[in-house]
Amino acid sequence: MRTFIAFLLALYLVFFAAAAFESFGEPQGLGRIAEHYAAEGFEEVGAINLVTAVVVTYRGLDTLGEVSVLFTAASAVILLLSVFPLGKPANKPSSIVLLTMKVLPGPILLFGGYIIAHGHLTPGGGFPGGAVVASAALLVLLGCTQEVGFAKWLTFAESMAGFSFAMLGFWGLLKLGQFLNNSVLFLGIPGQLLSAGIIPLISAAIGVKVASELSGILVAYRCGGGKE
Amino acid sequence: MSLSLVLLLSSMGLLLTGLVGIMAKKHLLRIALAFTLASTGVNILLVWTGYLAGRKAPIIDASIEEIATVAVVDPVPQALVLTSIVIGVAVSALLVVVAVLTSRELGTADVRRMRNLKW
Amino acid sequence: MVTIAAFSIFLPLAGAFITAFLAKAAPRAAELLGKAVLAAGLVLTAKVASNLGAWDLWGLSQAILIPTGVGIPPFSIDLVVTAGASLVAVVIYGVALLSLGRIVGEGGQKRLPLSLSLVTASLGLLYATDLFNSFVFLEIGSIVTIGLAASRGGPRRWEAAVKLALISGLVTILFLIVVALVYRSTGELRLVALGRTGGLVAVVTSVLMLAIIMAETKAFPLLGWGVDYYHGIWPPFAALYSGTWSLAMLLWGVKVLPLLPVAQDPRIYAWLGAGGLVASQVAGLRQRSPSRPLGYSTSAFASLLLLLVAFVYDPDQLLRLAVLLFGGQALAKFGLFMLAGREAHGDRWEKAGARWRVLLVFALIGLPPFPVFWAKFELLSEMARFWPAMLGPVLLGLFLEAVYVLRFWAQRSGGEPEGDALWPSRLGVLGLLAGGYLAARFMWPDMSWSMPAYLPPFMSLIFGVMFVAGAVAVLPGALLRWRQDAGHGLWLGLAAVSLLGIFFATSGLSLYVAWEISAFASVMAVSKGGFRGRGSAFWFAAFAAFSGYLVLGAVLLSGGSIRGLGLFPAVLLIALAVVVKLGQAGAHLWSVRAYRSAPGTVSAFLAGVSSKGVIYLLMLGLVGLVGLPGKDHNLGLILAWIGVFTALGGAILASLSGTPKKLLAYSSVSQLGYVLVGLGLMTPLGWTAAVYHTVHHFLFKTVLFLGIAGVLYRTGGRFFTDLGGLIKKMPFTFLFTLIAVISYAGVPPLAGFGGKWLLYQGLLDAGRLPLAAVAMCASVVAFLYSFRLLHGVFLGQLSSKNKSVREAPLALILPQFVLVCGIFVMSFRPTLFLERLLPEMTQLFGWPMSLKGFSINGFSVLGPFGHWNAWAVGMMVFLLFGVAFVFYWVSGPKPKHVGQLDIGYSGELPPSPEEVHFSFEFYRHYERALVFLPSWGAERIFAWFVSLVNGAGDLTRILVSGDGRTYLIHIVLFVVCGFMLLWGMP
Repeated sequence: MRTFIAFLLALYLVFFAAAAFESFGEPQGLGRIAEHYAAEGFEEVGAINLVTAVVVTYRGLDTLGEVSVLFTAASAVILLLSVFPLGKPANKPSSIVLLTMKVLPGPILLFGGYIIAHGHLTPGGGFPGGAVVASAALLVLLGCTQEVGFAKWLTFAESMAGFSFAMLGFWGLLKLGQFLNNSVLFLGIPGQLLSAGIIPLISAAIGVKVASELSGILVAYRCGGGKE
Repeated sequence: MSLSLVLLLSSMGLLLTGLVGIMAKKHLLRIALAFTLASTGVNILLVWTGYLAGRKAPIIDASIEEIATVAVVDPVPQALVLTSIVIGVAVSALLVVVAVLTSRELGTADVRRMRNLKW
Repeated sequence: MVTIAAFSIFLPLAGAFITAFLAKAAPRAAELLGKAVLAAGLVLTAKVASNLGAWDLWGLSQAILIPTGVGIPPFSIDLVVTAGASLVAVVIYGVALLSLGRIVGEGGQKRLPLSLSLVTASLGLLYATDLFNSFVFLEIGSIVTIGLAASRGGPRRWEAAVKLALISGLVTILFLIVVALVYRSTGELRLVALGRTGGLVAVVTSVLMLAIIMAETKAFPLLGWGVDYYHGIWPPFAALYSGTWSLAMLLWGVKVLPLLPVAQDPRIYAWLGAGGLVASQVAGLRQRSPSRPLGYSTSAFASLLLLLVAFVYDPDQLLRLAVLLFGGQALAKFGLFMLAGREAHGDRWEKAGARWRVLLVFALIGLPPFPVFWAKFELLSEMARFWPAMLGPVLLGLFLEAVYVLRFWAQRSGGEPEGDALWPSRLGVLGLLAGGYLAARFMWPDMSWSMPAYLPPFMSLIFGVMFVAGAVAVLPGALLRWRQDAGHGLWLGLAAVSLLGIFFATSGLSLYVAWEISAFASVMAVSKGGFRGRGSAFWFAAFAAFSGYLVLGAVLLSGGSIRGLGLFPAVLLIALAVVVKLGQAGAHLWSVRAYRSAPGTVSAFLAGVSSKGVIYLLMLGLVGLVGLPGKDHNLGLILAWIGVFTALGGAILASLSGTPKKLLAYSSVSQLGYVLVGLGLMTPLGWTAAVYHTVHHFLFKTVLFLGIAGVLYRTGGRFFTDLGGLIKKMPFTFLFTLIAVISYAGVPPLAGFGGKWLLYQGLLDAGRLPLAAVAMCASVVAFLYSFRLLHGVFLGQLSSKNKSVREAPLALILPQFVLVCGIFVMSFRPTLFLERLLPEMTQLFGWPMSLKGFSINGFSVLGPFGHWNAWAVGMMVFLLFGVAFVFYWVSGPKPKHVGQLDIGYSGELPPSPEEVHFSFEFYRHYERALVFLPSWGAERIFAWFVSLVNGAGDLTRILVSGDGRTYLIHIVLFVVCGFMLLWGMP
């Protein structure tokens, strides 16, 4: 009964939403701000990956907020799981995991680092890169039965990365009067690794932060959150 | 079946499933899962809003440098989705933890049993 | 300045990042850092506010722009720090700083990053101009509130956290749909783009956004989760939540709601707001547990948000009202939650700081001088201008909220909380007072006090003298209790001063401010009473709130001027308010309880002096009616009949009372009925009689209450069966009481006779014979209780426990003496008084100077139906009395002294010692004859009425079903209904 009513209501809502979307017809071109980004982004920001330009610079405040979302979620998870630990996992890791654990984390880290570093040049950036790095951590966690060594560095890395993100933003404010303006560093030649102002730095900060936060959540799931 | 229509329909389908799930399911983890489905659906919707048929990814290399405004899809929804996915992950992680801990502390994961605060 | 503003927003976030790591390594340092960051942020924000000139509340939409990214909006995002928002930010910082200590507590340093992030998220919402940006900040806040809720508290917190999580999840989904829609249709993402959509898109966006705002601010009907949330979480978290996040959410709503396409028809917001207010508040009345009432109160303010946006369009005014209204309620809730004590076990609050609690409660329901009061008044004034009919449901909703919040105070207070919880609340009250001061300073031009000019001068003089004399008369008595309880004297003093405020008020707002202060200061004075003090104070407060809202309605409808009070329907509301405040027509339920529970001097003040202020207000209203045929007759006639039946009913109930205070209470109600009769006649004679009776009532009632106060002070008893035979022990009290009793009973030569004479002259002159008949009945019944009072207290046999009773203290005797002298003057030289009053009255009513055969000639008053020479009457009575006295002394029977136990009981054992007392069930035979008493009628009618309201409350609170998924269904249902109502089928 409840499912039926819920289905009807949800159907109505979705139907209306879809109708609203359909009422435009096919879009003819880029929207107002998209057009500006496509046209000017290259010069203004110096990054050839427009998405990264939007994420890190044009809408950098959103990204700062997003980083805070992940930060608070990780803090909340760690807080809760330190008060109510989940307990030790039941199974022993299989031999596949034990084998790959010795070999794979390196390449995964490298790959993740590459994605992070080239965020302004190729698809990717801090977030996907950080997630990839965190998967390396997951692999290690799955293989270990005791607490892992790198756990205690995670909070430090996370804090420092977040703090540097905020400081980079303030640098822009103090030097150019605009928070998170990336031109505080030289814009360089677009297409090169060292270009686009502070975008690589912010990408790195984001990458480190995301990696350490996701890893922190995984560590908390696996081994509790440490002592209160 | 254009790609555009496929995207819209699949996002609406996921959205529908997710919404029904959170309103009708009784197990906390299933509700969390339904939320993830709905979240994915909305993310696909966001991506869809930026789709323009026949265009390339918004990476400006030498070939399209001059004609960027007519050659790339909209980068903004992709940026929004990036943020949205991360937020979705964060919320899901927290939801799962709350669900697990709640079911442990209250002894049940059945939402119908969590009705002590009412009226 | 831009830099400072940016720092003020992001400093807590930076602090959060650092403390996340520091919390494990060096917890103490982390906590210190957290507090330092918040303190620094507070200072910076205050500086920003000053820079924008926010503190004098003008031009609150001036702003500082903080650009981010590259380029300008809409290509980048910026944050707009308006002056109004910066004021709210100061409140947010203050709340966070004050609650941090409690939240972190011992070993809870891991909560620091969450709490600090919440501050930045709140500020982000306050200043955001971009839709997606708002979404991100919204998510931060949701995550923090879920995490904090689950991390500490009683076993109910899991349910609360789950419900919050469910709602946040749905809001996330819906919000993203809105983002997609807005971006697709307008190509940009600023908040103003919300208003640039059209057609179906506009409808879908508006409804979804409205649902999101109503769900997050907990407006009816989407409030279930919020009430459960407040109920379940640890109170310090609730304090932080309501003072920061909830407040920011409301301000975000103020920003967004006017931008939605649906705002073009403000009736939608108005209906949603008014309907939601009433529906949620009736449900709130049913709440018994400690924290749920505050949850419903939040819902009230969310409905007020909708009303605010519906009626106010000027951006400066909108921000100012939002800051005062929501900032005020946030601080009040913060304080109340912090006072909840260490752990709220089950459904009882542990110790709480009574004094601060009551101030916080007053701040929450919007009494002067607190900020919510001023904002409420201004908002309702706007409503009165555009859509007066809406005032009805809104005032009703606000009244209901006042009732259950007051009940919450009345039932829970007492004792002092832990030290660390008291300071935040104290500072909260201080903040509220500061905010109230700022608001009052802004509203100052609308308030004016000067010599009143609405009533004829001599009449005004009389009232002014009465107010001052009354205050002076009761003050010595109040000083008696100073050592035990200074508060009661202070509140009494405040009540007295505010009466003068009513007197000198020359604008509607001043009048209303003075009225409310007077009413609630009296409530506080009553609550200090020993016997069920707080319960009676609650009855008093509830009825005072009722009549207060009626007066507010009258002031709003009168266009803010006192002269306007005489227009319909303002005067109707005034009349109703006065009837309730004087305890007439069944409204005595509160006054009897209040008088009998209050300390003696407070009862004296209430009955003797305060009621005169009420009569003054009625006159202000009725004066406007003078000269309007038809209408004035009807209203006056109704008032007169109400008065006369109350006089009769009150007299009967007074006769059957078992304690002297209760008797005096009913007697007071009864006597005030006569005043209503006089005023209702709407003739010069009638009004003269009414004023005369008012002054007389002031004199004798105060004497009576002061006398009884003295008796009870010395004997410590309450019932008539504890007293008796005190005539030898307290001769002065007896003498003064006797004089007062003779006076009001209407026996010549004392003043009451003259008053009754004037009244009957007036009644007959106006041809109101039925009224006169009932009035005479009432006068006769008055003899019954006069005798009971005298006999029960002073005559009869002295009980052994009262053997060592002395005369009442001088502080009580001296005022009685002075007032009795006043009675004598009035008795023997009424012409001093009448020769100025009568001509003024005839002038007021516009009748020709020669009042149809009424004239004053030296000592005698010549009326249309008779002639009264007070001096001659007095002499005659004394002569006759002298003769009778001598005769009785010489040849009358000699009395025999009988001990108290020398009483025949037909050989049976008396069931209880009280039954042996002569005063026990003194008028049992009358009681038996009058089974259908009005009191029972009034109590039963009131109970029936209350059950009706409760039924309505039960109906609406079915929505708050407890199942989290049902709350989600409500939201989706609301959305679907919104779609269908505004668009039909696509």
